[in-house]
Amino acid sequence: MKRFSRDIFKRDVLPWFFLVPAIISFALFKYYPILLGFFVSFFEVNIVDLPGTFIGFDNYIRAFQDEDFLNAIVNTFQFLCISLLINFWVPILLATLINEVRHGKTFMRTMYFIPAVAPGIAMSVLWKYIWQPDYGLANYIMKVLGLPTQKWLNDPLLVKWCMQFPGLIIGGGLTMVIYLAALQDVPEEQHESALLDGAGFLRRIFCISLPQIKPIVLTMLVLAVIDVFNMFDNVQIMTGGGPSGATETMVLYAYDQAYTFLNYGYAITLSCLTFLCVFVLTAIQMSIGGDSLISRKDKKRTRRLRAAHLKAKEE
Amino acid sequence: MKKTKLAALLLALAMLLAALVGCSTPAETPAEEPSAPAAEEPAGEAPAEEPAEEPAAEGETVQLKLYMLPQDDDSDIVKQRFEFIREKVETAFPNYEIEWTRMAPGTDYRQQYDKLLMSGDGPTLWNSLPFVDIQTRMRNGTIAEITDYVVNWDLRNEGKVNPSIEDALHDEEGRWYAVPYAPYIMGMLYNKTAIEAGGGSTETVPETWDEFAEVAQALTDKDVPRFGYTLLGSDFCAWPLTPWVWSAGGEMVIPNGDGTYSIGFNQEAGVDAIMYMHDLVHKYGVTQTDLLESYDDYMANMTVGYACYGWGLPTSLDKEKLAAYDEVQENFGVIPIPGKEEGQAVGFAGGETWTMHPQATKEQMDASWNILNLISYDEEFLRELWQLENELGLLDPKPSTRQDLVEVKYSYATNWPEHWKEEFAALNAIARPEPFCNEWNSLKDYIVQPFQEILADPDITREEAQALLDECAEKLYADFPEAYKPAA
Repeated sequence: MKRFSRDIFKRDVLPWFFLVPAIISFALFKYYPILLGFFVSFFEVNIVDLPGTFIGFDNYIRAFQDEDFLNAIVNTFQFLCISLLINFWVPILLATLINEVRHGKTFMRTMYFIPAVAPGIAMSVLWKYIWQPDYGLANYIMKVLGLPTQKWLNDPLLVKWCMQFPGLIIGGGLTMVIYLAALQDVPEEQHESALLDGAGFLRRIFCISLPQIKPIVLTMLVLAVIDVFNMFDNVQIMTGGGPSGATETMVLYAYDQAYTFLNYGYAITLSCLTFLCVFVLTAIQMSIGGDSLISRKDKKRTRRLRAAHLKAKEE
Repeated sequence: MKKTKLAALLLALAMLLAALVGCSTPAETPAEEPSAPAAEEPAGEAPAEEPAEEPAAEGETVQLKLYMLPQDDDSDIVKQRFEFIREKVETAFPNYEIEWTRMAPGTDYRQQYDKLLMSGDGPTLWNSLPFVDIQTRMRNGTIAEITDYVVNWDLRNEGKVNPSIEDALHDEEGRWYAVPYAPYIMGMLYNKTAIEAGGGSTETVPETWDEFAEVAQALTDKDVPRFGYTLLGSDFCAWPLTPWVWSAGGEMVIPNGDGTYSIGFNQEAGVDAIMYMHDLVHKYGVTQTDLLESYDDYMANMTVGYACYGWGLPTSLDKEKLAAYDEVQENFGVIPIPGKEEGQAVGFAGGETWTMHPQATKEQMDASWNILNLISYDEEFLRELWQLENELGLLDPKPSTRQDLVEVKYSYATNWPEHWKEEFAALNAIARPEPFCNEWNSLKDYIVQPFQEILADPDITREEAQALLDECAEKLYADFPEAYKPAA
């Protein structure tokens, strides 16, 4: 009986004790602030008498009537689209190309990865000077090429593109390495079989490589969306939300409400709404991606291919 | 089995709950703790009143927290100045247990202050809030009322306290919340090296907008690059815009007489000023086109010689900072902002104040009052401080907080460049205090967007600019009805 109890303790109780520090940390530093944030969003916060006055849904109603916040939402979605266009697909393409290179793969991977190690803030400051319209490098290059100079960050039409472009170099290296690792996990035999069957480069990429790395692509997509919705430091450094509010993101607007206008309750409400946006978008992505981020059809096909491959090997 | 799992889970949850409760319950902070001001009393009560009945016993230790410690990367002379102050304070008040500390480097001091208050901490006595913040903060309860100290203040009653910003420091009922710490003046900074490199001279001072545009045009060479005027178009743009509006004979805000203000920047003079800025960018082409520069970048334009003239604070010209750019104080000076017409040139006065923690105890407020009186109003102390500052090359051109010692302070300035005294005196004579109404900082933030929109569009008409400013004014009326109201 005693032995039985000790076994049960070891198997069913002890693991929970090991988990307790992690549970406490997560609850304390992740979920407690989130829940507290939702709680506080129903108050007009008084910072010396927290949480302040209960005002129900007033902050939420105000948010949906606030033109500047709606502008920040539009800006954030525009950033998302641009990010998906230039920062999301390019690393996949690069990884695919590098994966095909026979020699110097490690060198290329390292070269792309190095900028990702640089501190993001330093890179934002550097790019701010590159885009400087009066004496920046970008306009110098334009002049050398005989092209008209641009206002870059000062131009409401160009500013979002200019801000996302460094992401390709800063963050692109890291995502490229992740994609490359996933591509290198794709069994070489599948490519060889496809080659024997006469499949060309594009056919192999679209029918073998991309379906195999689909879970990684979906995961990176979720992360990219979260990244864009949390855009703050590079906006603050490069434009401060300007010109004329063209780069005011949801998070930056919430920050301004807190620290410029001292509307802490409203700022938390805006943060909660941003959180909800990310949550909904992520849920949609997960459901589109199917269970475990890979479709049943893909799973079946992979299983079938593996079985065929093993059978061929045995024979 | 399930029961065992459930018991384990409950145990884990109980531990979690205990941790949460432990973290969220305010600890009974003993009197010796430096964070005592916030923790000792429940929020929302009138803390300054109650402890008054139990004054501290003679010689009893009082805990204070002062955020005056220089940053690690501050210059040695700034640190020497601080050590002088610390030694004097600790010698004068041996029974005060003072924790000298500082805000996190590179962060916004207002933001840090609010964060500290929220966490139940914060400076007992603070010397950083600009006077323009006081009207807003007295209403949101983030600073203590100090009426008793001010109305019974002999120095003030004798007319010895600099009165330039005092209207900003009390409400309509005469309740006081701050006293002056460091009034300062601002104007048009110039860089003599850059001006001479552009073939100009500092001997002639442009007094009108037309003269200034002409001078700036002659100095500008974008290939160098050298700009006649450096434009501050980022978050701080309302700061320099204010004196330009004044110099056109207008006002940013106009008191309604009932504690509210009507917006003035969208009236004719305001539109004149912003269209003049627009002309400096597009018609005369004498500024940089980057409207997004931070204040540090903007000041760097001045010090490295990218700009000949720019709105600025003479106090930013300390020797060590300039040395970083291989420059010296002699090459800089300050003149009034030119007027739209002759005789309309203006100077600008700002300044920081002393404020106290909203939950400070009576003992802490008494001690804070004694300290601020020593640092900012004690003649013997001030004379020693100015002597030291002059030796260190740190003596700033800020007028003294003691009205009767303004000239005395300048008499210590033997290390200043020759032309400074005359320039500062001229600027001081026409300086006007920054508007200080409730929600003034919100107004400054609201105006950034139309300002950038107007300046970024080379083809914008005066009517379109007017419409953008009107829209901004309407938004301010709608969002801050307790602060801004159209004039009847």
